[in-house]
Amino acid sequence: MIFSQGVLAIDLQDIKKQGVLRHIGVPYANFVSYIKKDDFELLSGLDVELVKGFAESLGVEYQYVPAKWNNAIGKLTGQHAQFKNNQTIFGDECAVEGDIIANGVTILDWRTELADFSNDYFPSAVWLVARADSDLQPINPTNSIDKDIKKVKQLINGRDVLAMEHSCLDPNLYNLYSTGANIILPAIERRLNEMVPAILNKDAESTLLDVADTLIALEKWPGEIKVIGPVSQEQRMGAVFRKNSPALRKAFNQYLDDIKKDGTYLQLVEKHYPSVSYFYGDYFNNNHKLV
Amino acid sequence: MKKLKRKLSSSRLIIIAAVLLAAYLVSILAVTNVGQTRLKESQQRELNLKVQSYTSMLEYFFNVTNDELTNLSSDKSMLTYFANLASGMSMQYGLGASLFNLNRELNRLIYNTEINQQSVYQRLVLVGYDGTVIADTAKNQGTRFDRVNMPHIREQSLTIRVVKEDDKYPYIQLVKRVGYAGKPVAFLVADLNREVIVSQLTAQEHVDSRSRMDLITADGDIFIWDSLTTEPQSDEKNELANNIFFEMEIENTPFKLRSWFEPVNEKDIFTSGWFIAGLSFLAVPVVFGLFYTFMINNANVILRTKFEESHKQRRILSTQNQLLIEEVEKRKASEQELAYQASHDALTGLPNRNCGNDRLEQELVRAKRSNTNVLIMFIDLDNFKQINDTLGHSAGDQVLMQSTARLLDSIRDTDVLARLGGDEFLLVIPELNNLDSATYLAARVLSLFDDPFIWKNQELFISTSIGMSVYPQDGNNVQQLLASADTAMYRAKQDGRNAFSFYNAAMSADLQRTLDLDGRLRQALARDELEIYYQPIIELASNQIIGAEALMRWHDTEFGFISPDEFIPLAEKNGLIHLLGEFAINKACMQAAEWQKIRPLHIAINFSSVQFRHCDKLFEQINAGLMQSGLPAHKLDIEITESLLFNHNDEVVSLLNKLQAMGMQLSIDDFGTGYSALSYLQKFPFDKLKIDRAFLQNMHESDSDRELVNAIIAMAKALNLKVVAEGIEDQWHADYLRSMHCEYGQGYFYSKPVPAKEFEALLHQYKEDWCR
Repeated sequence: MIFSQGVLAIDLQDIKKQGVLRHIGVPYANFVSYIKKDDFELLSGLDVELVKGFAESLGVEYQYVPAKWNNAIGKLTGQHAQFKNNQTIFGDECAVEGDIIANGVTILDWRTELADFSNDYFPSAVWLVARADSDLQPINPTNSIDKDIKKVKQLINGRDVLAMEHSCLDPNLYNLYSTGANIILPAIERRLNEMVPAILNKDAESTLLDVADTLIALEKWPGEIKVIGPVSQEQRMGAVFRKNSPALRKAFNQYLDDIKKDGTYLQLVEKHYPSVSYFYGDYFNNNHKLV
Repeated sequence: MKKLKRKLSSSRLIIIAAVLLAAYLVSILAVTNVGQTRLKESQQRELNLKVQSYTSMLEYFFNVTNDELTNLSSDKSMLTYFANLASGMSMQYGLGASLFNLNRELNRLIYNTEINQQSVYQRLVLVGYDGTVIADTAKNQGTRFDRVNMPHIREQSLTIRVVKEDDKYPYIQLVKRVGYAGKPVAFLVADLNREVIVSQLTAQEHVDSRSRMDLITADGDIFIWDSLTTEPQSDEKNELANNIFFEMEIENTPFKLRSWFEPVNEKDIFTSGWFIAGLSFLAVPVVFGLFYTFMINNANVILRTKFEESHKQRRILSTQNQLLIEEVEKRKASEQELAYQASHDALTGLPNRNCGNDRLEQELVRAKRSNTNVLIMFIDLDNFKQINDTLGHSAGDQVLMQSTARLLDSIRDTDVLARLGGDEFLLVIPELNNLDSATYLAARVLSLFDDPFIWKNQELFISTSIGMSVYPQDGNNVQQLLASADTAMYRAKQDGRNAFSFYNAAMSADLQRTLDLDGRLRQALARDELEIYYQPIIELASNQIIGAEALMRWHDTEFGFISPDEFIPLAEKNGLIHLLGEFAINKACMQAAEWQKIRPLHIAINFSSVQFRHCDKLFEQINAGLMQSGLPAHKLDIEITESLLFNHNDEVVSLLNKLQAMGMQLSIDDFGTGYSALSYLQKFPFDKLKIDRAFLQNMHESDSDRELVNAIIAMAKALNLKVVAEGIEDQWHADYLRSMHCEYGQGYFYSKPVPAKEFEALLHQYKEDWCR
């Protein structure tokens, strides 16, 4: 872990002084949806609204900084980093273009080493999703998640499974290589929302997919895909802050608490992920009772 | 006009009016009826349309609901769920989310589907084909969906049915078969909110709309709305019987919409049958009214006819009355006429003999009472018969009528002229003052026939023979008088006709003489045959002639000397007196004016009171006489008699005053012989008083006469009047009178009246020595 010495430490005060909060976002599911074509720009999503609200609470302007999965960290911290082959590889230095990353970023260990996460605000997990006509059968869920994961891992032995490093669908996170499955990593850069179209395209039989995406995919392609089972434990998502922006992170956490308290948070969740609030009822209910 | 009136008699008019009114009423009723029928039809149509609209609305509603359910059943969330279910996903890993979405969709449908702010769906339940509940919007409610297993439900895509649960109102339930991949997988059971349907069906109803609607199915009825019945269920059938009933099927549903509507004519009083009945009933009193009017009119007509009858009768009576009166008048008139004819001559209109005799009788009675004379004249036309024979009766009649006219003209109103018959007339002259008048009148009558009668340009001369008698001298009753007159008439005829004869011969002679003298006097006057004689008047004291009295003398060749006592009255009667007077004045004045040279004497002229009837004329004469003669006025003596004073008037008095003012002397002549009041002496401006000769005649013997003369003289003196004594015949008279201081005297002692020549001689003589 090498931090670039030339990085300016920008924290809450500075941002307030600058009067703008820069939000680094990677289009992902319903967290961030960004379309820019010619003069047409559409920006929406749960995290967009979350950060916008945060900026408003700070009394600063909101600015969206489009990014990709592989340069988001760099734009935040000033130094690129990749997780490859189960290890973090640092890249070149780059300019700090944003102050917060929020686009349904799963809290992963390797990420926590690079930056600080806010309090989690969204549940997640990774499932195995197959084409409907695949002979992979969805597991009968047992009460134990571990057992279910085990079942799934047994199933994918010898099967093609699409995965993507550096994201929450990194197979290394879940020891999938040891399952005997044929892990296919996309040759070209893929976006997460291209996973399902890939299996539909018969690039692979199945793919790893996080819950959010899965739910969306299930609606998008009803009857064409099926969920086999879980691959991961329950995960959490949160907003990413520089390690040297604790005040900002603190402020965000405070903001999060506030909106959870006044129900704005739940509203946002239900707006963008109505089924998820049901699916992870406990999570969201507990969040309710955070008061 | 009358025909028209008859045709339009009042009863006919009433009948016409009644007919018109009846027609009017009938037409009103007909119109009302038609209106009602139309209204009913219109209402029927309207209700039909309404029910149809409800029906179609319901159909539409169910269509829409069906579509919604269809949409829901093919909704993505549904498909997703079933797909996921089919793919074997577990609830935990993915299926749960789909179910959650599905639930959300169901709820959203319920929430969003509203009509008029009412939720259409009460509950949506997704039941699996095997009967298990997949999703349910009304949680915690159990449902018995064993009924879902009914075969016909499985067969149909959509089933609509009515569900009745024990203590709830029945409600409509839609069961939609949900398919996936061509196979039925579930049933979507939707419970409809009954209220929505009710509100839809009652959009146009309200409390006053008087309607009732039910949705009927084999399974049960849904009560929609009732503003019609008030009775409990049991009596419903009866109550609903009279209403308009519709039963319409709702397509694609098992429902029938039954509706009852109150007919319009029950709703509103004006459209109800009672109203019509009322109106119709109203006609009854109207008819009664008309009938009554008709009766009244009849009575009126009868009354009027009676009235007219009585009026007519009255008029007839009145005319008859009038005729009667006229008849009576005519009768009276004719009676009068008869009476008249009975008493009057037809031709002349004069009373006839009988009437004449009666009138004569009356006059005699009156004359007896008033002690006057009545003159009866029989006038007989001499040659009447001759005329009749020669010229015919028409000539004779003419003569008679003209004679009558002439006679009538000359008689007074009180005189009676009657035609005795043939050519004889009776003239009765009552109130005959004296016999002289009788003579005069007879003369007048005779003279009437002097002029000829004209008949057809021929002159006919008629002479009459008149016989007269006088009452009471010649008889004191009608017969005597008539006999006397008749006798007198015969005498006249014997004398030679065209003559008259009094019964009293003397009277005849008198009358004759009078007639003769009348004519001769005129002649004398015309021929200047009258003379003025003068008698000297002596002043007694000096024995001198101081004046002369002018006296008229007439010597007629035939009759000789005619006394002034005779011809003066005659002149007075026939009007010649004025001419005589004029003659006297002129002659006397001329003469006296001449003698003034010899001696300044007065000339005294006598004036008749008749002359004073024309004072102006008299004054002219006197004035003219004086002017022409040149005689001084104071030399003229006006001698007037008492009789003038007796009958004086203001004209006379003023004339006398005028004459006296001119200087003439006034003397009162014959004083004391007539009716005179001593007051006259004062009243009238006399200068002299002449004592009548009668007083002087017996002065010798009669003391009383002498005393009278004394008294007169004394009185005259006292009144400053000069006295002239008339009739001095001897010396004694003269002496005595002189001694009594009588100023003047005249008489035979001195001289009788003499003609002018002789008087002149006297003047000369006495001028020289008139002293004896």
